[in-house]
Amino acid sequence: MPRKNFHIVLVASVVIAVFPFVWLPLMSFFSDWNYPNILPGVLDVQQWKLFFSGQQDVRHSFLLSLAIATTTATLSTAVGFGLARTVSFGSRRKQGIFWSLLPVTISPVLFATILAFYFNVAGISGTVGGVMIAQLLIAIPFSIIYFTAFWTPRVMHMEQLAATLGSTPYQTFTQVVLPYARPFLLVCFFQTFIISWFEYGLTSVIGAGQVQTLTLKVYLYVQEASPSLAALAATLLILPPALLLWFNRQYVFKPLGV
Amino acid sequence: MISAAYSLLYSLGLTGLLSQGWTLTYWQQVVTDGNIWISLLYSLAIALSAMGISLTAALYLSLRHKAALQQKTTAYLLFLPLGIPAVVAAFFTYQMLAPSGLLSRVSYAWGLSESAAQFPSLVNDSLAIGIVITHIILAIPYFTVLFNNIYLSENVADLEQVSNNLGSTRRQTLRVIVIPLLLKRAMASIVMFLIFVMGSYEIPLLLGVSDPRMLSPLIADKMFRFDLTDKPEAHAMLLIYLLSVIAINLFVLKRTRLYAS
Repeated sequence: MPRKNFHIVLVASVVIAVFPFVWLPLMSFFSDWNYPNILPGVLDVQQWKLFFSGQQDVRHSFLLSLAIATTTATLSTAVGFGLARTVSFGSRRKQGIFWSLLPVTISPVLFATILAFYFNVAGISGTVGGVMIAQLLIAIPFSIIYFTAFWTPRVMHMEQLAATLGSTPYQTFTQVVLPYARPFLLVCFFQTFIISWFEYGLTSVIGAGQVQTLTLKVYLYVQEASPSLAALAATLLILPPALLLWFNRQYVFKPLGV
Repeated sequence: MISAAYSLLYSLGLTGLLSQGWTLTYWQQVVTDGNIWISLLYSLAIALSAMGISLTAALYLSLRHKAALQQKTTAYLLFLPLGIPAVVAAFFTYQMLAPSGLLSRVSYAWGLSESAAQFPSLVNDSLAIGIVITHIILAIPYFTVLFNNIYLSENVADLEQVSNNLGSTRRQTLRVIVIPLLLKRAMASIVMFLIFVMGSYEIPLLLGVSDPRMLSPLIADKMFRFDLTDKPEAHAMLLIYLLSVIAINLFVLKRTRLYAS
């Protein structure tokens, strides 16, 4: 391929990748976007003013999504880390991985339809707690699969070596395993946060319309034909992952040699 | 699986508000009706199209632009779509490709179309162009990262060097060694992506049509609509979907290194 075309493809790829992060924030300032104007005559800051002053549902949804995603990521990383050790070093490793893989690969909305009956019976449908438990049912299996790559015989040998040298199980865990696992824990937290932050199908079914996270708001505003509000909610959804990706780039891009 | 027991009982008429006792009628209806099979094939066609294009683009980017991917800023910008949720990606595609979207306006400004109605239908179309494009935008960065990781971890550069020393052309090396190796090592992720696209919900919900429908919107719609007589069929469809996913998972686990310690 000629060198000029070679660069055009790369530049086009970067433009396509970046464009949503330019267009969606810009669109959140549109008050009326009449056809065939490419851009509206004036940009309106009203939606953002309402957001910052707290007089808008989007702010509540943003904080709710943040709380749910942070809690889900923290719990699933901690629980998954421990369970993955049991799965990895246990005699039923294959079964453990298989049953962990299932909730991760099933369509979340269909997984929710399977769970809905039990959540109704337990009386936790339509509650924030119910949504968090449902999300944990996906995030914990994901963590287990993720951490099976960490709990290798090498780690087991490190634990055994520490024990041989007189360390207690608590000391081995806090002074040997945890420092070694730190990058794994950070990436897992990042990924489970993203799983929860992006979740739509499961939350819409188990939340029963009562738990309005940001992803649900985007869909709601699209249905209400309020594109600028949908763009505002979409902007709030895409900025935190972009920032997390930037601050975690040393772990995400490290294998690429970046 | 315990959770799925309720679906099995429902689909056999053993529970539910309108339950009339043991029957295979609902299963017969689902199997002979054809909706589930059309939906399954339609979802598979969409997933295969999105996967084929994404893999080609990701292979191209990861093999032809290795140097660019080593640059921190370029890599970050290229991988940004990893941070876009499906519902936002669908909304963005709609704003770009709908008859009143940005592309249509640009086409009007350049004199290529005279009205929104003249702009070709790229969203909510039975060919699922919008759905495929959205999945491609989300998948290319993921597969590019994956192929790069495999390229480095498997020392593919050394293999390329050996192949060149033995007299292979660059094209032969790519066709016989590099691409098969990358695809083989990425097989588990590729199959998972296939399942993910086939089961996607938000994207077809915003960009799809009512007939044919992808699997998740079809089953969810039957499950939650007001007509309770549809629910046993919905549960039967759900179980067919579940069994398909279990079968694919078993295949993936048997054929890949996921079990390896």
